[in-house]
Amino acid sequence: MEPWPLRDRTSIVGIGETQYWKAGGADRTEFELACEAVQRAVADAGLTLADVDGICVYSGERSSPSEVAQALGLGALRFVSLYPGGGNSACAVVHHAALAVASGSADVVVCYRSICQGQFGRFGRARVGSGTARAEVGESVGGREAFTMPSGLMSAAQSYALEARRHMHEYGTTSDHFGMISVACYAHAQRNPRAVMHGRPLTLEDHQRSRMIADPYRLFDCCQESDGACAVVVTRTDRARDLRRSPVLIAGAAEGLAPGDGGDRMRRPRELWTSAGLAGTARDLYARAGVGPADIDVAQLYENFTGQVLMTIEDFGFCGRGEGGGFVEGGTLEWPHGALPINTAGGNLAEAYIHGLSLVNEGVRQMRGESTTQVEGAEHCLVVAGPSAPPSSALILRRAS
Amino acid sequence: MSAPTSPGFGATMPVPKVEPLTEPFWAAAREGRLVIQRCADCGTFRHLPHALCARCQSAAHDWVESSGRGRVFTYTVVTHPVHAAAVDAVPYTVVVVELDDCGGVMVPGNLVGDPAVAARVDLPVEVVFDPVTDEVWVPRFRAAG
Repeated sequence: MEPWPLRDRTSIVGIGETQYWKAGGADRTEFELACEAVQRAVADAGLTLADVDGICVYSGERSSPSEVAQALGLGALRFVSLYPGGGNSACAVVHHAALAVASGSADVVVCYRSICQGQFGRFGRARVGSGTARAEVGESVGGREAFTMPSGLMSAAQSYALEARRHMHEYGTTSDHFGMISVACYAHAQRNPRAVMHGRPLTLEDHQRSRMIADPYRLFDCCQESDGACAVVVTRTDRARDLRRSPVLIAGAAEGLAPGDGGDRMRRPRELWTSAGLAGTARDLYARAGVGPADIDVAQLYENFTGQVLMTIEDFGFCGRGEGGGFVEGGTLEWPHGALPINTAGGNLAEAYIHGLSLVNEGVRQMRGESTTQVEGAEHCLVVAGPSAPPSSALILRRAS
Repeated sequence: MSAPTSPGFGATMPVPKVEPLTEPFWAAAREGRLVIQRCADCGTFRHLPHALCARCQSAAHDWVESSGRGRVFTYTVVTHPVHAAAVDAVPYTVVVVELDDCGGVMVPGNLVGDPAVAARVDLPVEVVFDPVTDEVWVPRFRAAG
C-alpha cells in the first residue's frame, strides 16, 4: 500500500491559549478569548497575523472566522471549514488544516476553539442540539429527542453512562477502573499551573466518595465545564523549518464514523455500545503515520467521561477488547512510571474543557519537550478527540528529528 | 406519590412533538400499543423512526405492533437532575430495552412500577404507557411479571 502522502509533510508550528477558568470565571467575552488564543498561537509560531490565510473551526463556533479575521486583521482568507459535532472534531480541524496547506489551497491555517460556558450556558444542562449550537429545551421536543428527553434522558453524562454500564456488564469493568483515569488526570494537573484543578489533588477514595451523577458515573468521571480558548497553527513542514519554533510533525491524521453509527445512537451496531467507535479510525491513523500502539510514548485522550477513555484505549489497540479495566490498573496511565501516560496537562477532567483542542496543544508541548509533565524522550504522541461521538478524529504527532 | 407508569417528572418535562413521520407511533401509543417501523420493501425493522431504510434506502414502511416485551440492554440511575422537571423525580431510572420481537430494536424509556425492583442488565420488562397529555402517551417499562 502506498504510504499516506501527507505523512510528516505538515506540522503544527504554533500553539496558544488563554487562561483557563471554571465555567463562569472568565473576565472577558468568548470572542475576546478566541482572538487572544489566535494571537498567541501566531506569535508562538513567529508568524504575523497577516500570514494567516485559513481557519478551521468546529461545533458551531460562535467566534466566527469572518469576525475573528476582521478583528485581528488576518490576511486574505483562502480556506475556511466548520466541522460538525462537538469535541469529536478537535483533531479533525487539524486534519483539515493539514489537507489545506499540503494541497496548496492555503499556506498558514489556524484552528481555534473558544468556550465561555459562563457567558452562554453550561453544557451539562438539558439542552437540544450539539456543541455551542445548543438551545434551551422547549415545552415539546421533536425529532430524535421526542424519544429520549421525555424519559429524562437529556444529558451527555446520562447517555454515556449507558455505555459504561454495558461495558461493566460485558467485561467486569468497575467504577474503580474509571476512577483510575480521573486519578491520573488529576495527578498530572497538579504539575500544571494552568490547570483549573491545580492544587486540588484527587485520590481513588475521593473519586469513590464523590456524588453519583448518572450511575455508574460519579462527579469525577465527568469532564469539567470551563471558560477559555486555545489555538494551533498549521503549515507545510518545508515552510516550517524557517520559523521560530521547531515544527511538530503531523505524522498521521484520521477521522471516522463506523458503518451503521450516527446521530441516532439507539440504532448503532450492537458492538459499538461498548466501544468508542474509533477502531477503524485507529487502523487508518496508525497506517498513515507508519507506527503502531507500541510506538506511542504518551497520549492525550479526550475525556468526555472516564469510561469512554477506557474504550478509546481498547479501540487504539493498547489492550484487547474488554481488557481496558485491567490495563489501567497499577498506574499504567500515570507519569513517570506508567507505560502509557495520558493527559499530561490534566486533560478535560482537570486542566480545562476547551472541547479537546487543549489536548492538541499539550501533544505539541510533549513533542517540543516542554510539558510540565514531560515524558522523557517521547517521539510520538497520540491525540484522540471526543470518543463515541461520530464522526470522531485523531492525530499522531511526531517529534521532528 | 407518582403514578406507577410515571417516574414522577414535573409538568415542565418536554412532551414529544407529534410529527408527520412519527404520527402513527404516537397514535398507537394513545391506544396502549407499541408499534415499530418496518421497511415495506426489505422487512428490516428500525427504531428510532427514520424516513429511509438504511439497508435498502426505501421510504416505504409500515408499523408493526410489538408485544412490548424485552430485556434491559443497559440502564442508568439518574441522581443529578439537569432539568427542572426532573428535580423531584430523582433518582429515576433510564433503560434501553432490546425488544424480544421487531428485530430486537433498542427502545429507550424509564423503568417504572415497583420501586423495589432495581434495574439490571437482562431484566425482563414489558411496556406500559404514561398519559402525559390527552394526545401523547409516553412508553415506559416495568419489570415483567
